[in-house]
Amino acid sequence: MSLDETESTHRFELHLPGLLKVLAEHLYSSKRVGLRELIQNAHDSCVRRKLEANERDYEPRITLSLRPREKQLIIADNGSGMTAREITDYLSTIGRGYTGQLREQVDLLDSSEAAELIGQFGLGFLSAFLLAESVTVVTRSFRGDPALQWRSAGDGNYDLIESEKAEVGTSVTLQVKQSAAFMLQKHVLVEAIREFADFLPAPIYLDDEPQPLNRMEAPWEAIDADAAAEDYIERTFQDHEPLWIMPLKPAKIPAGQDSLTIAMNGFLYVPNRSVASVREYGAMRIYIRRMFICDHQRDLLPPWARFVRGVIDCPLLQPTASREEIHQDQHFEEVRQMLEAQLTEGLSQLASQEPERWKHLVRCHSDLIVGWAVKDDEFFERIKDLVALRTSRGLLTLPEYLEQSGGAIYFVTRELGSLQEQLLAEGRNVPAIDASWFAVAPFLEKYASSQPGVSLVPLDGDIKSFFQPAPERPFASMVHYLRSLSISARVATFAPRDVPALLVYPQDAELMRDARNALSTHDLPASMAPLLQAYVDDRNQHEDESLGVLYLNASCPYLCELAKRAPDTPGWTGAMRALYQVARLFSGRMLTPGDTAQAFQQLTHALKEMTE
Amino acid sequence: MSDVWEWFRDRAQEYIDAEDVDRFEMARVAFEFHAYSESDPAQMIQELKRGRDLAKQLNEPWWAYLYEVWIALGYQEHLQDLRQGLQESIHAVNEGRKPILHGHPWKIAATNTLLACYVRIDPIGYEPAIRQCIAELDKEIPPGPGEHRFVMMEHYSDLERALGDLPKAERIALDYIALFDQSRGIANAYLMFPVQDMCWISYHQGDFQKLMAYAMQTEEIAQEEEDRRLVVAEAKAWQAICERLSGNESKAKSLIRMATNLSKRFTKVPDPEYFDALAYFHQTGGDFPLALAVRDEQLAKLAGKGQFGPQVDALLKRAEVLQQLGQFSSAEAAAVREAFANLKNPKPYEDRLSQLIG
Repeated sequence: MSLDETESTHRFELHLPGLLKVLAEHLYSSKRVGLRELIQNAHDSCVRRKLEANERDYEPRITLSLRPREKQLIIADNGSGMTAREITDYLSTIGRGYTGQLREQVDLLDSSEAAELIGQFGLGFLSAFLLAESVTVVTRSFRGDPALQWRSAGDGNYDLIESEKAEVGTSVTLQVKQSAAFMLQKHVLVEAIREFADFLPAPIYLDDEPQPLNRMEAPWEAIDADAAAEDYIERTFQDHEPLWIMPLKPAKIPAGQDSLTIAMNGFLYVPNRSVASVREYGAMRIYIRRMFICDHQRDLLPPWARFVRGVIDCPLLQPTASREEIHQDQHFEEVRQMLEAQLTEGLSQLASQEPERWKHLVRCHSDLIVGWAVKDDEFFERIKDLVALRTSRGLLTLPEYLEQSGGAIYFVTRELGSLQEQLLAEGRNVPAIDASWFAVAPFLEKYASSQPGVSLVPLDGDIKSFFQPAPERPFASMVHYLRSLSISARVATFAPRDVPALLVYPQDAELMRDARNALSTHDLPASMAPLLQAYVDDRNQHEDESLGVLYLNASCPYLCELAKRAPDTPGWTGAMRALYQVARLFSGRMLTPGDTAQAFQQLTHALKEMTE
Repeated sequence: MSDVWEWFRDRAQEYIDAEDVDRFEMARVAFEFHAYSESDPAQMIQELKRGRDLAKQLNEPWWAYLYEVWIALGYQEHLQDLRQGLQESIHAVNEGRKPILHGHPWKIAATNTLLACYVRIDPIGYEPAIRQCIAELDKEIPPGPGEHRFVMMEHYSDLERALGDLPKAERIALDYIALFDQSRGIANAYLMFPVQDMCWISYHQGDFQKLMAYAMQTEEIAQEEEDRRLVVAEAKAWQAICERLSGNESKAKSLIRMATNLSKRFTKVPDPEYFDALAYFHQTGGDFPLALAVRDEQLAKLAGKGQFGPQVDALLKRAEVLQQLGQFSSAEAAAVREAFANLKNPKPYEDRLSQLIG
C-alpha cells in the first residue's frame, strides 16, 4: 500500500460481525446478565409509555414465556413499542440508546418517572446475542404506526418487515443458543429475575402465573421498613437478627453556589456475631434505579467499618458499560463521603441514645473492631473504652479492668501457657488480659499511650517480675535434691501462697526445644540444619534456663513444712518429684510423648510413696 | 512459587463458589497484604497475623503456615527487624516439620527467609553455616529458573558482597540474570534483584557507565511494580552519582532530590544500598557533612533491629567520612569497637578499622 505524501483523514473500518461478537460475548461476564438487560429494556419501555403517552389507566406489565422444546425465551412488555424510525435509530444502532437521550431531556431530579429510567449506553440490546443465536422483535408503537418485525442473527444484518400485533408493546423472542440453554430452566429464570429485578416497579410475570415474580418494592419503601429490611438481610445476606439497622437518608451535595439533594436509598446494618469472630464485612450491595448492579463493593464504606454491611440505591453512582461494576469517579467519592458521614452520625447517636445496644454491638465484633481501631485514631477514640477484652475474670472493658487492676494493664500474648501467668496476676489480685489475638497487644499499647498514668505489663517473658527474692538456706535440701535431678531450682516469694512451685521458661524455650529435637532426629531438610545449628549453638550457654527453672515459693505453708523435714522422710522425694511434674504440666509448654511418660511415671511413684 | 499462587487462586475460587465467606476472607489477606509492604510494614504484619489467626480458627493448617512464613519474611525483609525475623523464621522452620504440612511448597521459602536473616545479622560470623545452607539449598531446589532459586541466589550474592568478593558477587548476579532470561511466567520483579545488586557492584568496581545502565534498568523494572518505590529511589540515587561524575550537576541534584523525596514517603526503611548510594553521592561532590548525616540517619534506623553486620559496616563507613572531615577521634573509634562485641568474627571489621586509623 502506498501512502499519499499529503496528510489526509480516514475513517476506521468496522468489521461489524466481529464487533458484535466482541461486544455481545465479552462485554458481560455472565450470560444471566443478558436477561437483566432485556428486562431493563422492557421496563424502560413501560416508563417511556408512562412519560410520553399520557394514558391515565396505563398499567405496565412484563411477561416472560418459556418454550423449552422450541428453545425459545420470550420477553414481552406493554410499553411504548417502537416505530420503524426508532428501530433504525436505536435498536439497530450500537451505542445510541433512546433511554439515555430521554433521561437527558427531562429533569432528572424533578421527575420520578425519569428517575426510573435505567438504560444509558445503547448497548443493552446487544446482550440478547449473549443468549440467542437469533433474535426476533415484534413491536407496535403507541404512536399508532403499523406493527413491525425485526430479525437478526447477530451477523451485522437485520430484516425489518411489517407484522401483526394487536396490542401496543414489544416482544423479544430469543432462539436460545446451546451454551445458554440453562436459561430455559424455570428456576434459573426465576432466580435471575429475583436477583436483578426484584425491586422494579413493573410486574414481571412468568407465562400464565397469576402472581408476579418480583416484589416490586424495595425494603426501604415498605410501610414497615425495619421488618422489610430484616427480611431482606436474612434472604440476601443470610444474616439473622442484625444488631443494628440504619436507614440511609437523602443527602446534599454542593452544586455551584447551591446544593442538590440526592436520593440515597437503602440501609447499613451490623450483623450479629459471626462464627469466626474476625470475619470482615464492610461491603455494599448496589442497585441503580432499583436494578441490581453488583455485590461485595468494598470501597464505598470507610475502611474501619468492617463490622458493617449494607445496600444502597443511589442515582449518583455510575455503572460501567456492562453495568456489572461501578465507576470509581467523583460521584463515587461523594457517595462514599456521604455514607461515612451518615454512619458516623448514626453510630454516635446509637452510643448516646442506646448505650447498652452500642456496647453489645462493639462486644460482638470486638476482635475486628480492635484491629481497625489500631489503624484509625478517630475510630479508636470512639470505641477505646467500650471494647470488651477477654480477661482472667471474663469480658471487661478497659475502664472496668483498670478499676480492678489499679492503673496497670497486665496481659499475656501466648495462646498456650498463659495459665500460670494469669495465676500470678490473680495472686496479686489483678486480672490478666488475654492478648493472644494479634491486634490486642497493639490496641493496649495505643490505649496506654493515650491515658496518662496507665502502664503496660507484658506477663509472658516477664513472669519473674512477680517474684520477690527469698533466702535459699531454708530450702537448701530441696534445691540440692532438684539439682541432683538436673532441674534448675531457685527460691522466691510469690502469690498465691498455696502455689508451691512454678516452672519458668525463657521466651524462646520452645523454639530451642523444637530446634534441638529437629537436629537430634535429623528430621529436617539438609539446608535448614546448619542455620538451625547456629541458632542452637548461640544459645547453648543458657541451656539450663531453656529447660526451665523451678521457682520454689517461700511463702507457701506446705512447702515450708516440707522443707523442715529431712529428705529421707518417707514420701519426701516423691512429693518433690510431684511438685516438679505438676509445675511442668501447668507451665503450658507442649510436652513430648517422652515428657508425658516421665510425668506419669514420677507422679505414680510419688503417689505410691505417699500411700505406702 | 507460581504454583502456590495458582493454588491460592483455586482455593479462593472454591471458597467463592461454596459461598464460604470466612475462608474467602482468610484467603483475601494473601492477595491484599502487599499493599502495605512499603507504606506501613508493621500494618502488613498485622494483616498477616490476622490471616494466620483466621486460618487457625478455621482449622486450615496450610493457610496458617503460609501466613507464618510470610510473617517471618515481613519481619526480615519489610520491617527489617532481624531479632523478631529470626525467631519467626526458626518457628516457621520448626512448624514445617509437622506431618500435616508434608509437601507444603512454602517450606523452602522458610529456609530462604532464615538464610536471609543470617546474611543480614552477621554475614562474616555465620559464613560457614550460610555457605553450607546455600550448598544444600542448591541441591534441594529444582534446577533451572524458579522463584525459590532466584531468592537463594539473591542471598548468595548479598553474602559475597558483604564478604567483599566483588567478582564472585558479580558472577552470581550475572548467572541469575542469565537464568531469568530462560524463565517463563515468572514475575519481572525477580529480575530487579540482580540488576539492583549490579548497581552496587559496578559502583565499587568504579565502572560508572555500567552503573548508569544497571541503574536505569533497575528503575525501569521497579517502576512497573506497585510496591517497589524504594528501589526506584535507590536507582535514582545511583543515576545521580553518574550524572554528577559526568558534570551534569543540575540533573544530578534533581535526581537525588527525587530519590530522597520518594524514600521519605514510606515507613519502610530503605536497603543499606540506598544509604550507600546517597552517601557516595555527597562524598563524590565533596559534601562530607551531608554524607555524615546520611550515615547517622542510617544508623538511627538500624538501631535495635539485630542487624549487627550492616550496623558495623555503616559505622565504619561513617568513620571514613569523619576522617575526611578530620573529625575521627579515638572516642569514635572506641564506639565502633564497642559494636564489634555483637559479632561472632569481628576480625575483618577490626582490620578495616585498623587500616582507617593507619
